[in-house]
Amino acid sequence: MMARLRSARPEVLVPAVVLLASVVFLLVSPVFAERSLSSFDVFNLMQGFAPLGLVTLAVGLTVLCGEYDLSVVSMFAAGGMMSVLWGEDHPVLAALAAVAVCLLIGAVQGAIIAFTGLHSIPVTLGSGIAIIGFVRVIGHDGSQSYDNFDVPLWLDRTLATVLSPRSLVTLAIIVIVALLFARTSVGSTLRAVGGNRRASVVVGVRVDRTLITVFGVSGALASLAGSLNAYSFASATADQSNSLLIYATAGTLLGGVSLAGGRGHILGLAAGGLAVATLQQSFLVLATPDYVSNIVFALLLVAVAALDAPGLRQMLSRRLARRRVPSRGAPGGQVAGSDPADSARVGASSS
Amino acid sequence: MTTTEAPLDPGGAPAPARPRQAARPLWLLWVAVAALIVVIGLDTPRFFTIDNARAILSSSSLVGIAALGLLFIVASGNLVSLAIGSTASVGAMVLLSNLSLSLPVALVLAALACGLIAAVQGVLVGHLRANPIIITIAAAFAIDGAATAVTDGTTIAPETRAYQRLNDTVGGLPIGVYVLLVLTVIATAVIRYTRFGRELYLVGENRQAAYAAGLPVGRIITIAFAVAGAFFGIAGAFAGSFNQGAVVSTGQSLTFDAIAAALVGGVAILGGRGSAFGVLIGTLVITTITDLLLLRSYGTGAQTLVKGLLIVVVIVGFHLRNGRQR
Repeated sequence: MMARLRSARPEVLVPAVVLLASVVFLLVSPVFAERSLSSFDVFNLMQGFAPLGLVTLAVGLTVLCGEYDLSVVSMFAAGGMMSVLWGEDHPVLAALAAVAVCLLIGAVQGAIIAFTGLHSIPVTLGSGIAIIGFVRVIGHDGSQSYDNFDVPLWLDRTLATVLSPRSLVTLAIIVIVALLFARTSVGSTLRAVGGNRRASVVVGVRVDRTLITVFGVSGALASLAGSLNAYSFASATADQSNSLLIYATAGTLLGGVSLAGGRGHILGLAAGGLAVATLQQSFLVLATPDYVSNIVFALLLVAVAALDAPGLRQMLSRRLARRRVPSRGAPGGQVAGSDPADSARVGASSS
Repeated sequence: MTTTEAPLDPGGAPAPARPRQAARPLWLLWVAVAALIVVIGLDTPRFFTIDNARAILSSSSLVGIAALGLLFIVASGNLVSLAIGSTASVGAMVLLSNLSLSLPVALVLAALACGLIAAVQGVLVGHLRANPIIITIAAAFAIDGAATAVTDGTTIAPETRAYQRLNDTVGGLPIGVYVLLVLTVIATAVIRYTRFGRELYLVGENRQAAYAAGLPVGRIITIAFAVAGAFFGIAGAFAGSFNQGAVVSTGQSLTFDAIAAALVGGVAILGGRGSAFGVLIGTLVITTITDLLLLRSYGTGAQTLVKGLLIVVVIVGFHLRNGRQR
């Protein structure tokens, strides 16, 4: 058992430990709230996981191939708004149309990234702003209500005590993507593109096609999450809150997917998203004010982003090296390029 | 400004030396944008009036000051800050709640507080090399949360009327416009003539080379964030004075506008290129477009859509012209 633990890779170990810790946190939270947990808490947790799981998957897939899709929040809003506006009589058709639009926009983003060689962060930042503008235009600069109340009632009815059609959709999509990763070469293709793009090109991986597909799928998943969410609340708004991006990014990193790209599993992503949803539910049990839980999640994200950053690892390894060699370390230790994760890092140098 | 023009390959693995491509005529884009503004402006009543020119300049000051601050972050090669609005709101709150100490002291406190908030992010980004986008999104979230906790979600009212000074007009233009011009000159001087300025641009242009040259990269990035934060705080102070009160959302619209202004002003998103004067021009372009859309009674949606598309076009256009590849 110990040997297995020691040999476990971080992309397996991290999400497992994080999920376990969040569940323990949820289980002990009633002690401080002076109430007991009920099956409704689990139901509500899964209701929170319904949009978050899909958006975490959307962000995580792009991070797996060394990118980072900032536009998911806008796609989420776009999916919700289009569904509410078009879906009075045909909710399924409207949601599918919204998903198709966002799939297309995402694919265009992927094409720009693939063909210009630009990093995805600046591209999806700009297009994300444009999409929010588009949502505000079609939503007449306000929130729009949805009057077909049969839809929210159907989507949120209880199934098997803790599930609902909405959370089942999320679980089904996660299972499908996980199977795709396990049974086909999709997973290894994505990890190859994220791990070493030049080598991928050399060995014949279609990097262009992969990026276009991944960004299309990311847009579609975020849009679907937005549609289901808007139907559930019977309203849609363009008010862009970055909270969803915070939760989804935290879920991605806690799911053992590194921003350096090329490392991670779908089930890890799901576990990361589930852990964040579990923490959210724990805060609900504890009746924590929103601003406090916001600060906690923000600090959590800062912590995991710092742990994932190449600088910390390098600093630690330099410390260790210095301890082994009592004389003053060679200046070579200062050179950033010594860390292989460096060249693949998301952001800054965008190499 | 030789460092910004040096044909160094951006950070990353040592790539084979590639000849600099002939600059593609990006100015065509500017001519197109300018022509579009003029043509639509001619068709818009009240656009070509002195009053409207004054209105454009007035609204430029807030966006311009924030965009100037952002220049330091972008130039350092750390993309953009998504915490501009939240930091500016803190600036507004600090100013308005310290006015009893006199306006200059309150203004300095606002700049210092915001500089400190941004410097913390700078340490994480510069020393630990954490992703700047994720750190600044999380920072915005934490700042909003902390501001809500401190203010209880209420509006901060000005302690005294001293803030009115910031709304004064001199020669028909608000003080903010003059402050923007002075800050542009200061930023230009820092970038061109100080060691910090040159080091900042080298870090942005080629971080590996900066490490190899023994530059204190982490410290330089931390200072860049601190300077940017101070600028955001000053922009927020003007916003708070203009609104005669401050809430968590006071500076919110500044984030997108400042990013659009800096990028349209020719600041390369990947760092190492861009001037304070360019940011000034970019600011004027963005506020003119906003003004034009407002005069034609388009809502915030259309404005946001246009700015977002402009950002994408400029990023892609610049990238293709400079032939920068990963």
